[in-house]
Amino acid sequence: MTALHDLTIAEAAPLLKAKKLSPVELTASYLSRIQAFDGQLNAFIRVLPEQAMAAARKAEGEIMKGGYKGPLHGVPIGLKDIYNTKGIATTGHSALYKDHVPEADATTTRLLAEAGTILLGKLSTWEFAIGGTSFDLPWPPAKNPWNLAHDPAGSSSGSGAAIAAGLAMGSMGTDTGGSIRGPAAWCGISGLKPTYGLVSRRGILPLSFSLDHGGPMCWTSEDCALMMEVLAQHDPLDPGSADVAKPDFAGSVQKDVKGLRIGVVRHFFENDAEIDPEIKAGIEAALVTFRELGCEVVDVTLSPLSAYGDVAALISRSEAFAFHEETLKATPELYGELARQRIMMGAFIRACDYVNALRERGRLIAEIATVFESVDVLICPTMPGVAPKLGELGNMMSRSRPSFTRVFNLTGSPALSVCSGFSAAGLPLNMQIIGRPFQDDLVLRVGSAFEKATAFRDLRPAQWAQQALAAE
Amino acid sequence: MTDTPATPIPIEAKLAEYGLRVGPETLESLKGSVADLEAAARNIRVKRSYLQEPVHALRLWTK
Repeated sequence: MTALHDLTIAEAAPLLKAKKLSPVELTASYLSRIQAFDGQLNAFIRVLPEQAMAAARKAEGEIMKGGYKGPLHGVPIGLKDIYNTKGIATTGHSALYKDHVPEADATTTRLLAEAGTILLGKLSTWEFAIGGTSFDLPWPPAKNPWNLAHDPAGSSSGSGAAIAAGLAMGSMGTDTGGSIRGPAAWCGISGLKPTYGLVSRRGILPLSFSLDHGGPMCWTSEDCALMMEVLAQHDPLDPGSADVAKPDFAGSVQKDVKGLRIGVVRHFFENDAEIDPEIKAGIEAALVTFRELGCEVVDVTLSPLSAYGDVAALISRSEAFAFHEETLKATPELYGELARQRIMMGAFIRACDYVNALRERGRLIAEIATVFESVDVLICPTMPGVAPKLGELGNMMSRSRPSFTRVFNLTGSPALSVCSGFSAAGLPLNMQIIGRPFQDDLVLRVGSAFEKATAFRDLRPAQWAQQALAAE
Repeated sequence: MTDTPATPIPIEAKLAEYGLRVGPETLESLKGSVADLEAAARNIRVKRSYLQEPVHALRLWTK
């Protein structure tokens, strides 16, 4: 029998609905694992055992009375600690917000609660979703469950680590330049950066208003689809929220991918940036799988990776500085070194360069729309390599290391990271699947079809718990 | 197109002007990051049609 913490949401939901699995039992199981293992993993900043058990008992009562709400009812989750939670500290993993207790939930926090999820706690993040893997903050950085000596990536570091370690069934991350997809890649899970405007940003601590996205992180793309069923709602309180019809996420991931046309942005990883041979081999193998599933695979051309990086850097740094300027001046000592430096960069960008970056962004959006006239989805790496050792990440955000992820924050496209295999050292490989705006359902379908056609979802991190216990 | 200097005054002076405080190690690293941003800005400083507007130009209509 599958252990409770190895159940996916899609596997647990029918059991919960049929009253064969108790939300109380499930939640207690997760809390027990968190207590046993998170001392070494650092995925959680704050665990909420009493609140979680109360919510689980409430969910159980509702289900027993025939009030089953849907596939997330009774499902234990975690929130990156930049999602506002009413009456519960939302710290941004920063001394500056250590005592910040919001008066209202983020829209997404509320939607997930209304769907009957059980909030286990708040998850580690890079400071304010920008600071990098830092050791000078009030809480330690999260570690990678595949090997505790390695980095889980960020900024949604705890969200990725918790899912891979079986400490939550689903989590929420945010993504301004790759902060959902990076941790999904290095932690070997599925993470969706939805189309800009599809998931509300209201009540999520901002980093860069026009590049920020909230989205789900789960063991499978199918589970991400179940989360999106709840998350994709128009929010009049978010000025960027789109008022569009909700796609059928749950239905889409049950369909096949035969006949789809896949565009490979090969110059990104063969000319524009260097990647590990193992990552490239994983992608080539994935393309073989897609051909076997009946897809047509063709190469496509976009602007060079560096063109996206230049525009994204100018916009993200300008917008981050606009949000943080006053507190950075008043209390710089309350920021960690990495966040302080990265935010401060925005002070040196001229207004006209920011505006011209926004104009160039329009050109890049138009360009990718043209490419999508001839293909259904794009594929490229998520990250150029596997997880490095903790503390060896360095400055990920320099021009000499162009990012494969921030491209699609600029274009607002839905982009999913999935596990495409494992390195010789046993660390997850990665692949990114990108779609047309508001075709997040199709992106998830492609990701799910790949996961079902391969055996990579059958392998969970096996050694980390022993490592964690040995280190106690 | 004429290329105007992106940072006409030294970083130290600009930090002081903005009331921002950094230590010596941060300053060195910051200089490298700012150089990256200046290069990024140079790369997109090209002649553009006035028809090419910024993304997120003001929109007041409702659906």
